[in-house]
This record gives sequence, C-alpha cells and structure tokens, in this order.
Amino acid sequence: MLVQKGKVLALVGNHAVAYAVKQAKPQVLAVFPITPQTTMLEKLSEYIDKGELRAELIKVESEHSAMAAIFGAALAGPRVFTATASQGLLYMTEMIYWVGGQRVPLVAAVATRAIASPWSIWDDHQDFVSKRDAIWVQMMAENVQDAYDITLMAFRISEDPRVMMPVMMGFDGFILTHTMERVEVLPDSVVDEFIPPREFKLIDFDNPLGIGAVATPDNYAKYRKKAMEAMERAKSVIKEVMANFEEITGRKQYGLTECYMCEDADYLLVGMGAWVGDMRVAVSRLRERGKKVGLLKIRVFRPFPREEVREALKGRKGVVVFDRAYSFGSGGVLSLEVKANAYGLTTPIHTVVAGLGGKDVRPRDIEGALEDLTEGKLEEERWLA
Amino acid sequence: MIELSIKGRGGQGVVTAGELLVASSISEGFYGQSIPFYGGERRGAPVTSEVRLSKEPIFLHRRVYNPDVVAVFDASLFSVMNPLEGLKENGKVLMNSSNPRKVWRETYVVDATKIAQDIGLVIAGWAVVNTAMVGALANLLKEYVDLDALEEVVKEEFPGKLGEMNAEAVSLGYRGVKKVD
Amino acid sequence: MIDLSEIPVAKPAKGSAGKTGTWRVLRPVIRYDKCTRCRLCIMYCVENTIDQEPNLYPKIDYDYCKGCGVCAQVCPTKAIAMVPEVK
Repeated sequence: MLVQKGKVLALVGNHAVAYAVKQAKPQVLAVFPITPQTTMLEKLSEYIDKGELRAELIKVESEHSAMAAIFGAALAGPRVFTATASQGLLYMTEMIYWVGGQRVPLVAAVATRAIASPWSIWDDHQDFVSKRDAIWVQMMAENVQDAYDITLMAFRISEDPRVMMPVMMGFDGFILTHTMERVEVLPDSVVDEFIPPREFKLIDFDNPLGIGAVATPDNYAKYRKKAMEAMERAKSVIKEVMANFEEITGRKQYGLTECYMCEDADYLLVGMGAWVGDMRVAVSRLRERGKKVGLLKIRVFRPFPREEVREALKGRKGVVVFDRAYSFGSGGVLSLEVKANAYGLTTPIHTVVAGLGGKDVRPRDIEGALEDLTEGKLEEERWLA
Repeated sequence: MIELSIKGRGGQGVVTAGELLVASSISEGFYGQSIPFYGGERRGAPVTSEVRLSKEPIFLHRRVYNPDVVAVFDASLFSVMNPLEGLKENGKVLMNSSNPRKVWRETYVVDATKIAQDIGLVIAGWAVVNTAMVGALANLLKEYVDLDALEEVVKEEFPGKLGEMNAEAVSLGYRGVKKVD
Repeated sequence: MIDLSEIPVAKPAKGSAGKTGTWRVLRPVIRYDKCTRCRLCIMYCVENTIDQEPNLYPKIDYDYCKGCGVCAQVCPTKAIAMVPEVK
C-alpha cells in the first residue's frame, strides 16, 4: 500500500486519542471522568452528540463499573473502549484482572498520573506499571502523534486471534494529555482497512457458553500457561502490526524498543514515556561533546521486550535506567525489569528515580546523570527529589 | 525554535491563547507545542501556559524555563509574582496595559483590554483579552505565525459571530502593538 | 474464528461435570396414586431434575437428583417418600 497522507491537525493528547477512538468505531464506551483523562471523555461524548461516532456511552458510577460494563459488552461482540488514570485505574483493578484473565479484546487509555497519598493530579508512571501482571498488553507513547498511532494499533493487536488480549495505551498525564502538538491523522477509509471488523464474540444464543465459572486447579493453571504463551506470541504480532502501520503512514515504528544513537555507544540510557523526547535531546548534546552515549526507549512494557533489552545491554560499559515509578523496598520498576534481563552480563545498571508526582525533569538533569555515569560518579540509585 | 511563556489570571484564556498560536503555526506546516500548567485553578489566580514553535520536529516535553518571549495578560500580576522569571536577556516582553512602561530591554505593549471592550468582547464583566494578545504576539512572531492563518484558526475555534469578533480582536491586537522606548 | 480452547469458558452440557445422582443418600419416590399433578415438585426442584411425562405426571431423573428432599417437603398430598438408597 502507498503511504497515505492524512490531515495535519493541532491536537492536545486527549483529543488525539479520542480522534483515533472515533476512527476505530467502537460501539460501546463506558468512561468515568478523572483528571487528566476527562477532556478525552468530553470529546468522545461530543462526537456522539454530533453523530460522528455511533456508539452507546454508558454513564457509569465508577471506574470499576466502567470496566465491568465494557467487559460484558465486549463478550457480546461490539468493539469497546474506556479510559482512566491514577485512583480510577486502581479502583478498576479487580475488573482489569477479570478482563485480562478472560482474554477479552478491548482497549483502555491510561493518562498516567501519580497515586495518593499525598494527593497529586500530576504525571508519573506508578498507576500504569501497577497493572503489569494483569495479562494486558501495555504500550507507552512518547508524544501526541505516538498516542494517536498506538491507540489505532491497540485495537488491531488486541483483536488479533493470536493475541486476544486487552491493550492498555499509556500516555503521560498533562505532559501529553493536555499538550497540543502537530498530529497527522489518517483518512477514515484507511483506518477502516487497517482495523478489520471485530470477530470476537462469545455470547451466542445458538451456542451457549458459561463465562466466569470456577476453574479447577488443573484448568486454572492451564489457562494461565496459555495466557503466558499468548503474551509471548503478542511480541511478533505487535511487530507485524507496527510494520504494517509504518508501511501505511510512512512513520517509523521501530518495534518493541527503539535504540537511538546506540550503535557505538559505550553508555546507555533507558526510559519510557514522554521524557524519552527530552532524553533524545540530552543524548544528542552529549554526543556533540564527544561522549559515546545512546538511548534505549521501551515502547512496549508488556510483553516486556526481554530479548531486545538484553541484546542492547551487551558490551556497554554502563547503563542508567530512568524510572518514573518505584517499588518500595525493592527498586525502580523499569530498572528491575532491565536488571532481570541482564542476568549473567557484567554491565553495571544504575537507577535514577525522577519525575515523581509531576516533578519536572530537565534535559540537564538527564545529561548530568548520564555524564556522571560516563565518569564513574553515578550512584547505584539516585533520586531527583 | 522559539519558547514563550504566557502569564495571566484564571479565566483570561491563557491556555486558549497558547493553543491558537500553536494551531496557527501548525497550519502553516510548522511544529508547535502548547503546554498548559494545571494546578488548583481558580478564576483570578495566576496561571501559566507555555508555547514552543519550531520549523523542525520538537522532542522536548519539559516545561519552558528560559522563554524568548513573555506575554503578560494582566499588569497587576507584577504585584503578586515575577512574571519575567527566567526570561532570556535578549528576550521580549509583551504587556497588556494602557500605561506603557519599560520592564525589560525590549518591551512591547498593547491595550488588549480596551480592544476587547470596544468590540464588545466582555463576558461576565471580564474583558476577553486573549485574542487581542494573540494578535499582538503574532506581530512579534512573524517567522512562525501568519496573521491570516491565525484569523482562520480563531474563526474555527469560535464559531459564528463570536469568531468574527475574536478575529477582529486579533487583527486590532496585531496592529495595536507598540514598542516602549 | 476464535479458538475457544485459548480462553476460560465453560460449555454447559448435561453430565459434563459428572452425574450428581451419585451424591444421593435418600431417593425420592413418587406414589402416583396420591399425585394430583399439581407440578409443585417440578417448580421447586433445585436441580431441574423433575420433568413432566406426556400424561403430565412428574418423573424424576435419578442420574442427577441429589436427594435433597425439597420435593417431598413441598408435596401437598405427601405423595413423595424419601427412601434410603442403602438398605
């Protein structure tokens, strides 16, 4: 297929995601408002009001109900969507696990935000990473265009018969949700072709099934193993979908990870989310000063790109992982993932915990840590707090 | 790349002002970023919106610390904060004021309140100053913002009569900006 | 097509979970001379194991009847006796 030139629009992140959702044509939505996601919900109801999106928007009384509502709806066949953040995602947790375990294809956007207490409305990744064990594919956007792109790909990945799994699209609260950027949107007809009609449907009166029944220990373990295998299979499906998306849009998609200025880098920076952009700037500036540094961006958090990460770590003199979420009593969440896949390698892996609760991180903070790494002055774990 | 900081009070349309500039720049084929800072917003409380405009893709997502241009929507902000914090030495200041005074090496002024009042852009007793200010900013940012494109964006943002009035405010702001010597 | 073996669903079918009649200690026996065909036992059976014959008399499916005795309790003419399975 030829590269499809779409319209160029100026959109804030929440509106870009709403636009992608509209193009994916879900029939049932259930969303409960929460900062910094609310303006996405408002845009979606505006689309429905104007007749641009033919969907039922269920007014629910909580995030738990929002996920429960689209869970039930999804079983009957329609494409469904929800969005939330922070406390809302936590409140949704029980249903998040139900949906993952039941292997229901659906898409949820998470406008990442810190978790109370203390109360905060600003960005970090603590909410997003807390859902890492729920049998969900989790992808993280770097900018507003990326949030639009990932949302479209999420529907396709989720509904792929080889995957059949919910997909969570994470994008940094305020930093992306409320920031207006240039976004190239695809023509509706191209999206129609990119996301084939949904086949998943369990509720069928001619062929009744029981859903939510108790599983004996033997059966339970069997389904968990199948989910593990499906999650591994998802890696190649995600790459396939990204390759197809790249072909259509002409926008480079890279895959589960992206290695930026990595080839000859002695030192590697690892991160995910919106601050990867700032990291690119930091790495470029250090390169100008002759420092051999590179950047590994984690684009897909679940399934975790184990092979790619391990390969990227090999032969480096030092690695620093920037973490926007922390497992208290253990370490930075992303750092732990990276370290787990460095087993047997001698590369020292450092952690910088930063950007918690919206604390702004400047390229010079990133540069500083990276420069200290190259000079052997970086602690094993540094907090920018 | 150029970085702006827009300072005003809750209800003055500071965020919309940033978005209008960015949308206009993007419609010209450039890149832009409007970064509102949200906190405990209340009508009248000081609020900030930051803008990046560029001819190349923008990778940064951090806030703007050393703006090239600061726009002050309400001169009374000087008594509660320093709106010019971090402004580059060779940066520019645009003030909404009827009483021109030099606050930086390069200071510009426009009476956005009067422009809004003359057109009738007054809501709940508040003069809607943001579109006149955006017009004035466009004059200082000719490299990135085209007046015609901006007026189009304003008409798209505010449909009907309101769009016409705001587009006029943009135009008057553009022409009404003066350098303070 | 969805591969149903991939996801946790149950296919309801008679006897798919074994014959619950093996749990029975007391067997309900209907005395048709006393039965008035009122159908209360059919409505009350918690396991849906009592069905109607074409002549409208109730009939118990002993493969699945667990012997709970609800039918005997609700029968207005005391037409159902609970008889020990093991003599």
